[in-house]
Amino acid sequence: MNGLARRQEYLAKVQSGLPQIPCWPADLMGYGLALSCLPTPEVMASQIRRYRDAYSAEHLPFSYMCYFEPAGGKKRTLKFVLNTDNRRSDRPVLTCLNDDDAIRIALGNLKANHAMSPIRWEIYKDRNLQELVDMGRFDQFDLLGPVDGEKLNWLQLHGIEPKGNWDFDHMVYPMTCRNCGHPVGVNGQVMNIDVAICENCGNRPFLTHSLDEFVSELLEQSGELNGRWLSSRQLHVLSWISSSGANFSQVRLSGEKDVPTAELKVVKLFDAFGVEMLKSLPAEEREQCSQMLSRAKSNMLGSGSKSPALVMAERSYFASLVEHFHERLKNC
Amino acid sequence: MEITDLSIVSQPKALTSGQEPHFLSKMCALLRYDNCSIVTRFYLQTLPKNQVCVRLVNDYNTADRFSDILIGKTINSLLAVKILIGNWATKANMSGIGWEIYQDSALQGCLDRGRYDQYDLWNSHDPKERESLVSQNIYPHGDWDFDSFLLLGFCNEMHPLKSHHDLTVEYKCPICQRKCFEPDRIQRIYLKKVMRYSLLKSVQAVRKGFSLSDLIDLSTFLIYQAMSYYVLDQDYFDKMLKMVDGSSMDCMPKLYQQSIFYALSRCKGSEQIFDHLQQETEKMLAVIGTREDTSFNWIDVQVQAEMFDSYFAGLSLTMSKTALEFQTIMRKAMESTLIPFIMQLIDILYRYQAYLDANFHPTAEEEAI
Repeated sequence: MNGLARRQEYLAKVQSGLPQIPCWPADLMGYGLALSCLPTPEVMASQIRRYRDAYSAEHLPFSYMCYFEPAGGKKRTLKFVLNTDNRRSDRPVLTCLNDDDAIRIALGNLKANHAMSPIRWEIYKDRNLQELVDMGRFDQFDLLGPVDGEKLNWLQLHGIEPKGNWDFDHMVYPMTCRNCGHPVGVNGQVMNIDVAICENCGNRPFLTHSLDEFVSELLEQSGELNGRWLSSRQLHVLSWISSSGANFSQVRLSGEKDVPTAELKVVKLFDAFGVEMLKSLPAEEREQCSQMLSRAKSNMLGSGSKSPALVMAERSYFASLVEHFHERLKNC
Repeated sequence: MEITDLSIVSQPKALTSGQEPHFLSKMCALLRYDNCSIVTRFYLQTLPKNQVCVRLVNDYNTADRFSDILIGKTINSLLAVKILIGNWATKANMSGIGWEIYQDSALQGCLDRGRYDQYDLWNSHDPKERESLVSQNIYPHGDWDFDSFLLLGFCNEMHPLKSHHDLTVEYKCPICQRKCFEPDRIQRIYLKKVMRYSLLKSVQAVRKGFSLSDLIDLSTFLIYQAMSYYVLDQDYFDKMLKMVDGSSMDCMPKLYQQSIFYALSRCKGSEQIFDHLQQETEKMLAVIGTREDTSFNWIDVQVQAEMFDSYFAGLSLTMSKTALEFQTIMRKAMESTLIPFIMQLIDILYRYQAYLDANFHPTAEEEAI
């Protein structure tokens, strides 16, 4: 199957688990990411739905209250109520077609690029603020929910359509990949951002920034490791790389040319780490530990077995080993 | 679509399993709408496209509806309105509070009424009605445990877990299938100490020849103390460790609000129970008197009691208000049906004490804490 078709199938599965709307102005699934690093569509949809439920409109503490006033022709203005006691403080916000769907879309365009997750919108008929017309949370599902597809096409002829960034909860972190300059966005509510892989070059854009300095330090000291304890910082780097499931070559893709020599150094470091680890363990666990260590090393260098379940199991075991070793280091 | 949260939160384990009914399910039946002292009133306003918005009445006495609070908007169905009200009231302690839904802002025609409870709010005769609402994205979400019956805890593998207040029952974690939700070692020691201290105090009172009313006051106070420890959350327990030094006493009202007696205190009732309560407390003190010779090492207990004297001296200052309130409530505002329930709680406390004595032997270091 083609990559594009696979991606479209994934998107369709995610959208089927969420409330149905005619168009999707905000891409909550993230963009520019490899499909292999994304969670399953059911998990993606359920996490987004869970966030929507936790911050549903009846829970929100602040409200953006508006009311109508007639304007010239078939249009009307929407006025924002700053203070309910002082009528003079009201401000006109937008003028639009005399249509509820049009006004909802215009309100979304007005607050695009803003973080509006604790605020709900309420539209009233007049200044008394007694007769409600519509309300909801700032969200593409509430703003576009009651609109049909035909109505949306009719509104587009009059120049009313969703514009700007409609991700009102700022779920997606925007980023450009340092290696290739490809735009990348990750939904931080759904997945660990260290796991994200660039679709274009295979780099880990959110991981390499933070780990570059640590790894370079680790490589400088790796010549002196024979017969010594590892420092806590080096252990931290090893556990971080293993917990996010990154190969060593993925971390060192950021413009440096010393990847093969650095890999050799890491092999040495792993061997030293393994020797120290095996010393500290009891005799019964040594065989299992040595096998797992060799597998974890081959995974981290990118030549290991590729079945995801096995990789996950080894990763977790390796992380637990590192933590165990860390505690022993503290006690010593 | 699956609703995972609903299966955990809004279906109590005691009702789903085929075992004997848990005492908390009895409590659900006791705290019915007729006993609620506070009532929140909602009314509906019609909107276009077969929708309604729900408003909460702020001041019942005035005819002016300007200050009413807008809660939300749903489709025009009574079950949908009840789900909206339940979702609005999540994360709140609403036991003893009832709700009423009216047709219009004049508050004339009452559509439905009940208490904040999953049985009243998520209730319909047609199962198809629920399914049709779920297909329209209207379903209960969040924590619907309005009476705070469940304690949040973690098993040894750090899987989140919810359990009842009854610590004598050992629960298994559904993920890793291990025994968990036992109280911590330190918490067990503290429970044990507090129980022994309370028993010691009551026996001393018997020896000194207190009058019966004093004994009743003391026993209610002791039950209250034991219960406040009994429902102890682990987060609050860290603060309680500081409280022994007398450094911070701020979390005591919060503990009181967590306890079951806070829920009981909001019930209406009659004065007939009081006589019955006297007899029951006499029985209870008789039981304590027999236990003096057999099961406890009284020298240890007196040493521990000296340790706790300073703590309770500070505690009684902050708790005097709540304890007095509780005593008056015990005298005036409890139903006769609540007495067996409380006696059952006391029985559970004793069983827990026996369980601790049988299975748990603290080391010298932990005893020194």
